Parts: sequence; C-alpha cells; structure tokens
Amino acid sequence: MRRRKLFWQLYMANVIVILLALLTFFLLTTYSFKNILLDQVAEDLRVRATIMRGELLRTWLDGDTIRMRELCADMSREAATRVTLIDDAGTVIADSWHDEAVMENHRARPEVRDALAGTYTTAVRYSNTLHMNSMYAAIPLRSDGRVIGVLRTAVPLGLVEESIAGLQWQIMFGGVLIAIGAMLVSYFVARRLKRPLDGLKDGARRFAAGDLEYRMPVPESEELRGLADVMNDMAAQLRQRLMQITRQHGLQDAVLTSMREGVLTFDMDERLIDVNRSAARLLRIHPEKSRGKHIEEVVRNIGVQRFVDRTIHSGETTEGSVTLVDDRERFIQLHGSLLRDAQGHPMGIVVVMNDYTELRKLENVRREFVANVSHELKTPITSIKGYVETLIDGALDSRDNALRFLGIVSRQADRLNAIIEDLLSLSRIEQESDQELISMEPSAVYDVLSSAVQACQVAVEEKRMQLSLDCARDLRAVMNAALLEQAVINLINNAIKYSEEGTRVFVAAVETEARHIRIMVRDEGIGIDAEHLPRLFERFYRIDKARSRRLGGTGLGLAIVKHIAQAHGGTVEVHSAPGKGSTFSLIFPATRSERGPAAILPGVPASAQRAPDVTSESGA
Amino acid sequence: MTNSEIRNTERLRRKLLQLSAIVEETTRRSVIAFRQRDRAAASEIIRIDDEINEMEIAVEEDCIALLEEASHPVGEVRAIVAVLKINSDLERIADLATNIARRVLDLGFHEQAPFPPELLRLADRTIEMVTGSLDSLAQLDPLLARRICAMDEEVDTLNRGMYLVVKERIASDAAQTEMLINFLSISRYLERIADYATNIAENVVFIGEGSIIRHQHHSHD
Repeated sequence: MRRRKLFWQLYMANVIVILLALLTFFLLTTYSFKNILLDQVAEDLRVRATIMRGELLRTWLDGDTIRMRELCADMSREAATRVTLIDDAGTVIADSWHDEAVMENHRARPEVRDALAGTYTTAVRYSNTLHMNSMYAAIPLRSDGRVIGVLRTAVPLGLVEESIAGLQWQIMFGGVLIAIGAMLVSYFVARRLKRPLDGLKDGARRFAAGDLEYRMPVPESEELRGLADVMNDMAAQLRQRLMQITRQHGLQDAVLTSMREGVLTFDMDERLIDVNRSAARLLRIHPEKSRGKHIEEVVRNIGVQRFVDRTIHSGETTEGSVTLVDDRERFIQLHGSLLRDAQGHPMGIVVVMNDYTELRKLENVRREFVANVSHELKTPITSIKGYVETLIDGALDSRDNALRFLGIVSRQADRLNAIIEDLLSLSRIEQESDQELISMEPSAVYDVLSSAVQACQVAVEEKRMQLSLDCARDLRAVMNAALLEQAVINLINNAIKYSEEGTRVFVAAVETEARHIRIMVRDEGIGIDAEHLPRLFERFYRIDKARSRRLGGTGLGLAIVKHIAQAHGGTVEVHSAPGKGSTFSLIFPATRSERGPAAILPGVPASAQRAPDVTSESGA
Repeated sequence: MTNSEIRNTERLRRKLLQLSAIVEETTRRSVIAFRQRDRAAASEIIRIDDEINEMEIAVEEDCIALLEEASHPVGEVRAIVAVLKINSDLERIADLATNIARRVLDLGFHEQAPFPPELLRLADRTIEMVTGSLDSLAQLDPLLARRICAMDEEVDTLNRGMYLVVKERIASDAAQTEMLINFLSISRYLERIADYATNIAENVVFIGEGSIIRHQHHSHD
C-alpha cells in the first residue's frame, strides 16, 4: 500500500474538503431557508388575523358567542388556518378546530400574553391539540383603545417542515452528485500527479539496479522535471565513473595477472585478500579456496609467514628473501609494504615475490667459470714453474734432461697460449655477437668448408685418416666466413682426436627446407655417453679430463662452436652413441632478416639461455 | 565460546600450522639433500632441528595452559588433545628428517652408486603423504586425510622391498655395504615419517568426525 500513499493522501484530502464544503452549504441553506419560510408563515398568519379582526370584533362586541364560533369555523375553513378567540382573562371563547369547553386557560401562552399586553407576537410550539409543531400568531382585539381579547391564528408547521425536508433531500442529492464528480476529478488529478512520480521511481530503481544507460521520462511539471533532470545527470555521471573504475580495475587485474612477480595481499589480521597467478603458482595456492583464510592455512612456508608478520608489525616497507622447497629449491626475494586506506589507516600489506632462482643459477655458472679458468690456467703454469725450478736447481747441467724439460715447458706454454686464445676468441665472439658487431656477408659455403678441410689436412694425414667433403658449390649463405671456418675446424679436429687411426671423417653441408644451412661433421670414433650430451657444449666440460689434456684440448672448442652458431642465429646438435661415432651439426639460417637469439635477456650471456639440441643415438 | 576463547584456539592452530610449515620444508630439504648427496644442505637441516624443537615445546605449553582453564566449550578439549598429538608427530617427523640428513653426512654415502628406484619412489610417496596430511590439517579436510591414510600401505610395502634390494646388492658387491646400510636406514626413516603423516591425517579425521581410526587398519606396527 506504500505505493499509493501519496495518491491516497492527495485524493482523500480533496474528498474531505469537498465533503466539508457540502456539509456547510447544506447546513447554511436549510437554516436560512427554514427562517425565510417561518417568516413567511408568520407574516401570513398576521395578515390573515388582521383581515379577520374587523368582522370578529364586531361579532364579539355583539356578544353573540354562537355566531362568533360559526364565523371562526368559516374563516378557518376558507383560510386553512386555525382561528382562536381568547378573552382578556385567557379563556378560550371560540376555536375553529377544537371544543372550547375543554380547553384550558391560554393566558400563559407567550403569544397570548404579549397580545394582551398590546403587541403582536408569534410562537412556534408543539401543539398538544394537534400533536405537531405549530406556529401561533396573536393580535390584540381592541375596543375603545382597550384590549378586550386576542385573536390567534395558527397553522401546523408540518407542511413547512416537509418542504424543508424536501429541499434538504434535493440539496443532499445534488451534493452527493457534486461529491462524486469532485472525487472523480480529484482522482484523475491525483493520478496524473502520481504517474510522473511513478516514472521517476521506476527510473531510480533501474539506476539502482545498475541500468545507468536508462534515461527517465521528463514530466511536464516544473518541479518534477528538475528532479528528473538531476537524476538523469547523476546517472550519466555515475555511469562514467563506474566505467572508469571498471576500466582501472580491469587494467589492474591484467597487470597483476600477467606480472612475472608474485603479488599477495593480506589484511592486518594476516588473512589473504588476493593473490595473483605467479604467486599462486609459486606457493601452490588455490586462489578461490584461499581468500579470507589465515596465512598459515594458505602459505605453508615459515619464511613467508614470518615475513608477512614482520611487515605488518614493522609498519614500513620490508625486504627479505626466502627459499621455497618443493622438489627443488627456489630462491625468492620478498618486498613488503603497508597498504593504507584513504584516511591513512593501515588496511593490509602487499607482498611482491621475485623468483631469482635462474639468476642465481647464472651467477653460479659465472662463478664456476672463473674457478674453471683459474684451474685450467694453473695446471700448465704449475708444470712450467716446476720444470723451470728444476732446471735452475741444476738440471741445466744435464743437456738431455734440460732439453726434455724445456720441451715440456714449451708444450705447456703452447697449451696456456691455446687456452688463452680460445678464451679470447670466445669472449670476442660473445661480445661482438651481443653488440651486433660481427660482419655478415653472403658467401659460398663450399669455400668455407674446403679451407677448413685444408687446415686440418696435416692432422688427418698424421693419423692416416680419410676426410671427405660433400657440398654443392652454389650453396650460399649469409655468414661470417672466418668464424664459421673456425667452428668447422674445431669440429673436424675433435672428430680426428676422438677417432682411431685409419677411420673416416665426413664433412657435408645441405640446405634444409626452411632455408637453413646444416653443416655436418660425422666421425667413426669412440662416441659419447648419453649422460654427457646435455653438457657437452659447456665451457671446460670434459668427459675425460686426462684424455682431453693429453690430446691437447682446451675444453673450449665446442663452446666456441656453439657461440659461433648462436652468432649466426643458429644452433648446434649432436647425435652420438658410444662406439658408434658422433655427428655434430651446425644449423643456421641461410638468409638474415633479423638478429638471432643474441639478446633474449639483456645482460645474460647467450650461452646461458639456450641449451644445445642433443640426442643420443643408441640405434644408429 | 567467548571471543577470547576462540582467539586462543585460533592462535594455537596458527602456531601449529607454522610448525607444520617448517617441518614440511625440513622434510623436503632432507630428501633433496640425500638425492643430491649435498653435505652442506644436510648440515643446515641438522642446525634447524633445535628451532623446531623449541616451536614444538611452545605449542605444547600453550595446549597445557588452555587445558588448565576451568571450563571448556564442547569440543575444545578434543581439539586441544588432537593438537597435542599432531604437535608431537610433527616433532618426530622433523627428528627423522634430521636423521636422514645425518646419514647424508655419513661415510660412504658419497660414492656415485645410483640410488635404488624403490628408495626414490619411497621418498616421493613419503613427501606426498607429508604434504597431503598437512594440507588436510590446514584445510581441515577429513576426506583428503582419509586418502592420505590409505597411502601408508604402499610406503610400507616399498620399505619392506628395500631390505631385499639391499641384501641382494650387498651379496653382489660387498664394498658398497656401508652405503647400502645407509640407504636402508633412510628407507626406514622415510617409512616412519609416512607413519607419522598417517597419524596426523588420522587426527584430522578425529577432529572432523570425532571418530578414532588409529587402530582400525594400522595394527601391524
């Protein structure tokens, strides 16, 4: 019913006003109408009495009572009026409608008393004689200036009352008609007033429900139109602001979701508010199940728990690091800071997690490399120093020993030189590759391969091996011929070193379907165990250190090959099995549109980013 | 329960979960340490054990303080008793993880002989059970807890299998005896860790359902 309240209020107020007006009108009308009627009746009675007075006075003075009574009856009949004659003692002498004998003394009646006193009066009274309201008018009868009696005329007021009642009914009937009409009118007016209000209410409800594109119908009345305009304005502004918020929220969500760093938020009670995808993955959290739970229930890592606790209680930004352990260790840097609401009260904290496991691994690689280099350099130097000291201590005297020792010193110096040469070229390739300084020109692959084969010819002949080259002379590629030649020489030298005397080495180059050049060096040598393959191209990785040194290896040959391949935007592959020989392949694009994988992560050596493709060829 | 009582049991629960976090991490570390024969990591684990013992004592003292209060709401005593049991199970697991770390430091362990696949399986299963039982504890998930209890059988079987494997290997290569005995010890420690994980899961069921399932399927030890 609340819906209709205003309507009913308006309507009922109208109805009450109308009814009150009608009632007042009704009362006033009947009152004055009755007065007018009664005045008329009174006047009428007086006129009649005055007309009758002359004849009746004569008869009275004659003293003929019988005649007087007849006269009364006649006049009464003609004038439809009761006529009464009363003497100055109040005794009724004649009455047209009643038996005078039984009538009591009338001197106390007000109209009679006044008439006896010489004035004319009327009175309205209930008549016991007639059993209805009657109006009485009495005038004095004078003889010689003395009041000798009273002539009273009377009519019953039944007629008057009837006509008043009739009038009242008519007024009431008319009033009811007017009331109904007025009610109808006010009903429609109220409804007309209500309809735009309903429209506004409807619109407001749609706004509240989120339908901010809706526009309220603008009512005709000035005040309501203002209201509707203001509401429509408000909706438009709300919509704009909401869209802005939604956009911002979406952006934030997208940023958080795609962030590599893990982000967690907790309230001051250490309950999880939200977690992004990276953090959920790192901490093995199920975001939907975990929101609102205490950190201990969600994050099973004491380091993170303590860090969150520390951040909440320190009230400042905090830094820390933890180790997450699942099937391996992950090293995580934590950064925490307090979240404050608009009033500046702390409402929670945000923790950003940064997984630096990979960086740490790279750091380890670097450290290992330095250690390896030092070790590799130290071995020949120790040897050189030892023999030189022996010579100083007297071995010089024995020419044979001295020559032998100096030969060893010379070989070790060569070895030292070889290592340093390799290291230098490795770092040069790496650096130039990173800085895009390596000049690339289209050249014939055959020329590169044949000069590499020639360079190795001496070594091949020493071991009485056969070296064959299979390459189309028109095969061309964009490359740095000098670097590529070095790579192929390294591969051929390796093949020679790890093969028995009298076996063969095959060098071939083909163009693959994807416009790549594949250079292959295959041997029939001792082959490589599968477990060594993944690390074969690492710097200073050796399957057998003693053998490698004996054969004059620096441990850097294959690392150089890999770096040259990478400088060409290509890769290296090895297929091998123990006793079945090895095939090393160097694959790079024949044409160059862009730089290769030189800089996926700035500052990280390319060698650390991509492992060589290796397969163990157990069946070949 | 009044607010402060809820607070107290809540705090107790959070402390227990903190302990569970460090115990799980220690267990995982001990398995990684033995797989990688990493002496440094093993020494670190042995060092952490003292801290775990202190945490265990703190939880126990809190339990006793709570139990000494005059009145307890329905179910609270049951919960506190369960916490006490889980607390001591966690401490035992940490002890056993420390024992594994000690074996890693032992002589003979660092020869490059491969681990028997049964031992690696056993280690994986045990870690799975520890994590699962602690998940069920954190989430108070009796269904998960029951699943963990059911895994204990396999771990027992794997452990028994280890005796045969080690016996055979010693017979074929007596030089490796010391290391193989170490493998056997680790296997036994892992199996006992799995037992305690099962106990924890059973206590989670006990909290959740009020029934004691300890001696229903687990009578062989």
